[in-house]
Amino acid sequence: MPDAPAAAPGLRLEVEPPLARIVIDRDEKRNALSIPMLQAMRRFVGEVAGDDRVRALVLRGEGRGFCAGEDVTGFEFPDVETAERFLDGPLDLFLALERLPKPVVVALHGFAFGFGSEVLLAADCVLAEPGTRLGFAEIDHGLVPSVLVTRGLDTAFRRRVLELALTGRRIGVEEALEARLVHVVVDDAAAAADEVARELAGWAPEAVELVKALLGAGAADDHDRAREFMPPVLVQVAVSL
Amino acid sequence: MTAGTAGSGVRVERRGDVLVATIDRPHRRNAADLDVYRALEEAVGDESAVACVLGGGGADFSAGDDVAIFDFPDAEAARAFVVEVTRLFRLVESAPRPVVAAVDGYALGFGFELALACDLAVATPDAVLGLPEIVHGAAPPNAIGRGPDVLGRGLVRELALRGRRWLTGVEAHRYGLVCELHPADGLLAAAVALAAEAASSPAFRSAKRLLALDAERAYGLAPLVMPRLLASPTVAASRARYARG
Repeated sequence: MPDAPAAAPGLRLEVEPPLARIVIDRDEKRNALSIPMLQAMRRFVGEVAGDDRVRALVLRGEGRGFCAGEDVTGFEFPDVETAERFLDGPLDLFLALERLPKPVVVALHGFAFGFGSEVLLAADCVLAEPGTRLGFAEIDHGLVPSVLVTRGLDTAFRRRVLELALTGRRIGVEEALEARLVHVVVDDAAAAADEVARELAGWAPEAVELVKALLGAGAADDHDRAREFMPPVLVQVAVSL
Repeated sequence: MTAGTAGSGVRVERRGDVLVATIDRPHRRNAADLDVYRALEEAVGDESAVACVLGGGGADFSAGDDVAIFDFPDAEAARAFVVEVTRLFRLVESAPRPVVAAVDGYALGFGFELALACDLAVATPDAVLGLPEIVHGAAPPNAIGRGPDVLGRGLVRELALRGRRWLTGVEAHRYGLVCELHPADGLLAAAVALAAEAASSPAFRSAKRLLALDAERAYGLAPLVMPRLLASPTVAASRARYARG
């Protein structure tokens, strides 16, 4: 049984060694992430990093879908400094996931838009249920899926990245498989994610740490580029929202 | 036809102007030891050939490093081994002539990384390509260094961390690791033809030099990070399991 679940509104951490799960549970908002939820998620990743009993992390959503993106009702950026402070939230989280010396397994169902798709670029294994819709919908809001166009370039390749970023088009699991955003299509993604995470939790920790360090070697540079060009874009969008 | 380097575990022959080096240790599923690395380096560096094809004798390309040789008393001993492996990959990428892999059966670990380092690769549809290092407490640094350019980081992540998730030849073709599929009985001839065709292009050398510009980054990681891991108790335990058979 999970012990001492740490709670935050709409988000919880379940620790069930050797696994930990971060569960997004805000179905009334289609699991959109508020700024406090992003901050809580970052804290949870830190707790997982420091807990030696935990050897793999599962990320999943409760309800109709995985995550519909960031909650734009909280988007208000009067100046570049405010935008910079906001950006630290998601970017630090993505970096923390890549730097976590433990495998990160994501279970998708229903929908994964915006943040819900961007976080896949920092995940080690992504399982999705048939019928799941994915998409980098930022452009719909006058935004840029900055992590896709920086960190995502060599995950999904330039041509496809440009198309997904510029059109905001929603894609199905088959296309997401081709783009390597999703690795496995399976009927019960949450159960399968636990199973995969348990398998990965069995590998030698020093080997996992090294593989993840090598895979994540360029992450900080990629995220620094996003940090650099995004703030003015965010200020612009606050005007148009 | 010239017979090559007896006892090295690699057969070398000529098909016209193309040199064919065949890893020939079927009793170990063509797993590579230091003699194999050195013989392959020699073959890839042979300036009398216009191109080089690397293949496997029997049913497999190469099932990996022969873990029987993973007997490293300390990180320094492991470093000598890692430097040798990395030297082979660098030579493959810097050779001013095409190097083509012909992949049938298992191409795991070292076999996968070697096929990845080659300029081009052909395979049978049911070839099996994967990175099982993590299962043994090791890691595939060269596949992580070079793989994202070819396969995308998303797929490399999955292969390197899941360990037992292996690609078929058909999948490897779809993802771009392999450029042609052929039945086993026509595989070598197809690889030789492809190698000769690539060698006949006057621009081949320049194109390859351009493509290899970041090889140093791709292969610079292994000697820095691998020695300590290879000298770890988990790897030693894995070797002991294999030695018992």
